[in-house]
Amino acid sequence: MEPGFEDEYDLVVIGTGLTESIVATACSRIGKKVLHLDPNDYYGDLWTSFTFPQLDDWARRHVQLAGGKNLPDNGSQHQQQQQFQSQHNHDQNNPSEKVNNQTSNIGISLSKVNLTAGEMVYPWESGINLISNVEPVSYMINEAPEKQDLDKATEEEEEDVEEADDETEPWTFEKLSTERNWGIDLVPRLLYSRGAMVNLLVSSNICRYLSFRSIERILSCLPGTDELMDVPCTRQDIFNDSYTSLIEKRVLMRFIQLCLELERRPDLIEGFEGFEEQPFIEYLRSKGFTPLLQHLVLNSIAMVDPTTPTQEAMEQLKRFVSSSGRFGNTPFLFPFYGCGEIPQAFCRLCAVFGGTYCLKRTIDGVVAKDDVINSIIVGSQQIKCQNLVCSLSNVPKSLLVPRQVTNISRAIFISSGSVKDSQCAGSLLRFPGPFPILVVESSWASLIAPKGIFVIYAWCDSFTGNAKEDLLPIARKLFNFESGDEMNGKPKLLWSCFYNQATVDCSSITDKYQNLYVTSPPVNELDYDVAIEEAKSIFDTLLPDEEFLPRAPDHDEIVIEGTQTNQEIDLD
Amino acid sequence: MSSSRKKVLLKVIILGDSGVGKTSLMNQYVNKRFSNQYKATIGADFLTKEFEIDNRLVTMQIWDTAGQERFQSLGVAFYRGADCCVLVFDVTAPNTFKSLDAWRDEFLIQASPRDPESFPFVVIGNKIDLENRAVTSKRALSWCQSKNQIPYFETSAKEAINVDKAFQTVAQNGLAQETEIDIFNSEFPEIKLDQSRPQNDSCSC
Repeated sequence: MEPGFEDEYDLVVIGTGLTESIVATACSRIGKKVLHLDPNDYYGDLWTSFTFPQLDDWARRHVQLAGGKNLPDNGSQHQQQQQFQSQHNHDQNNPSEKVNNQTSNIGISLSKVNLTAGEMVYPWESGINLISNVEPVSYMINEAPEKQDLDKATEEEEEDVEEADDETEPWTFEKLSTERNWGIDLVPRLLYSRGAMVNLLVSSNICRYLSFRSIERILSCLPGTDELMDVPCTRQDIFNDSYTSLIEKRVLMRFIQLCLELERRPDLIEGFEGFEEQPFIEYLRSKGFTPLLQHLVLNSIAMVDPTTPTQEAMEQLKRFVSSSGRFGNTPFLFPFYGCGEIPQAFCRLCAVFGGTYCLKRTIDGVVAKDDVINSIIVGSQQIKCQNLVCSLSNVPKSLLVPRQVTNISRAIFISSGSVKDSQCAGSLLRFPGPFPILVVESSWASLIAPKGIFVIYAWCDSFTGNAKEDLLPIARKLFNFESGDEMNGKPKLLWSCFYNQATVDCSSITDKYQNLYVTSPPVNELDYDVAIEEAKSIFDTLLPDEEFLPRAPDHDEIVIEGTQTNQEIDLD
Repeated sequence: MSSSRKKVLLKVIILGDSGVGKTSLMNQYVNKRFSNQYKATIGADFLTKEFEIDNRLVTMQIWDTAGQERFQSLGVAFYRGADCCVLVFDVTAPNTFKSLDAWRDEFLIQASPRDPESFPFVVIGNKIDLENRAVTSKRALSWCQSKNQIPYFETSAKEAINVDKAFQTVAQNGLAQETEIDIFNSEFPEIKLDQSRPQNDSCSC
């Protein structure tokens, strides 16, 4: 017999993606009663980390959903501008008829729903699918491993795995599937060491649930070639770098020094020698930056376009420089076990402060009067709630107003080697262009894959409307697609998956209920600034006078009051 | 690697149905107190206890389910890097004993330890101070034996009976189990954000 939920909550949240999880946690943290549901059997929604079999299932399911074989669209028409075709708004005049047509969705018979005057029951249909053009491909020869003993042998001699590459059995689909310890992200991110997420994790003390690893290098693809160079990030790196000339080293050193000063003296940025509104490239040229230096500063350090105004570019540089050297050479951190740990860390704190969690469950209907939701229906229970927060994919399509959506093209590559000779890399790489492509390499060293395996993510705003078309060219730059031996020093690709993910700003995507808040899907960003900003904004609307995620006390600061042993009460 | 052995972090997780006394057990062990005021685990997170075994300073972190077990919604993050798993039932509630199979399976699936057969579990039958006992020691012991000889303890978190003894076994068996994170830690230092001092970040390769 399953225990039931309570009869009333301050807040009900549907979806355990990052934004919803932050809102749920912030509310629970200051004493609100929160019920947090997710129709999936895992945490994180699109912000999750999957095992390889989970990812493969996910991909196949989406291929099926799309109607079997998922061929890339012909032509180059720009498809990133789509619209949600909204059905007409809820049938205002005759909602109960609508309910009657859909009683199978609601597990409680209508006669048992407690309605006061003016209240109506509305079914909560499943939401929209944000994923399209999913194309998983395996490049492995699919054979069962011949010698079972090899597994044990490699475990004992882990140090030698890399060297003994030729001796070990080749990776097969089956072998990858039986490996443990995967954490493959659908929406990978890096954290600036002094960025918004790190700051929030520290100030809220949610960081106690997480461990990170420093991303050890930033790579850059030399223009016109497939060659990857290490971008020098520190004075030491610049000094040792073999690509830059002595003069270039001096220019770059001076520039990094200037950026450091900007951190201490932000006023310097204001009157940036008359270049504030000028394209950043103009500024760099004026300072005698050679094409190589321009390339490095633009694409790898500032990560902006040549036409970005200098002032904006300097802000980006400041962000980069201020985060450098805190934990490692580069400014970036990546979570152990994958980014899917982050929403779970928030949810844990929410639970510690009394939040109720239930996966594999969503609401079946709402009871509303005019434009206010008074209660929700979950299975056979009617639960009062003051506010409802819902991720976009969990909101019935009929509640959404038509909106332009942006399509992000994404790819996941699983490889038996690093994109550039390393045994444990964490790397960031940016390909410039009208639609810049970000590439993040993570590996077994972050405990996201079995030993010797690298997971490389790439994403960009879609320009062809199809992820494979957008990202295949850079995949060819990075990987060896042939099944033979390694060629050109490029790592061998074992498996890949291209997919598109739609996103849209959901701040006013529905006007049906005044106490329904919809959270946006992940956007195209490197850190988590947009998601945090949105969560905070929803929290501030819900509870304008409350502090957003004040520091949670540590375990030894939590003292259970009224400790005594005189009377036994059942703990539940 | 030998130098990193001096300090050992042991992650222990406690599983079992709601209301069997998981929070009380860890509080009794770590804080030497019992409260009858918890309701469904509000505020319980993880507790740490330091002790020395064989010249090694051991920090044992005992993780509570924080109530997320109530609807079987513990995420995979909860299980990461566990060195020992304590399965708790209430000797007065047969259903909580029957659930042990499901909790053990859940742990093995979610934590996917390297060698499931030899992963250290400890079973605790709690609330022996109560009169209305419904699960016999014999029945519990025979279940434990069938699962590759899991150590079994009968405790009262309220009366502090056998709690220390049970957790000593947890510590010993957990220490015998070396998890991957320990192996990796020496090679790839993990960064904890709450430590103001940056850690050694060199990569050995």
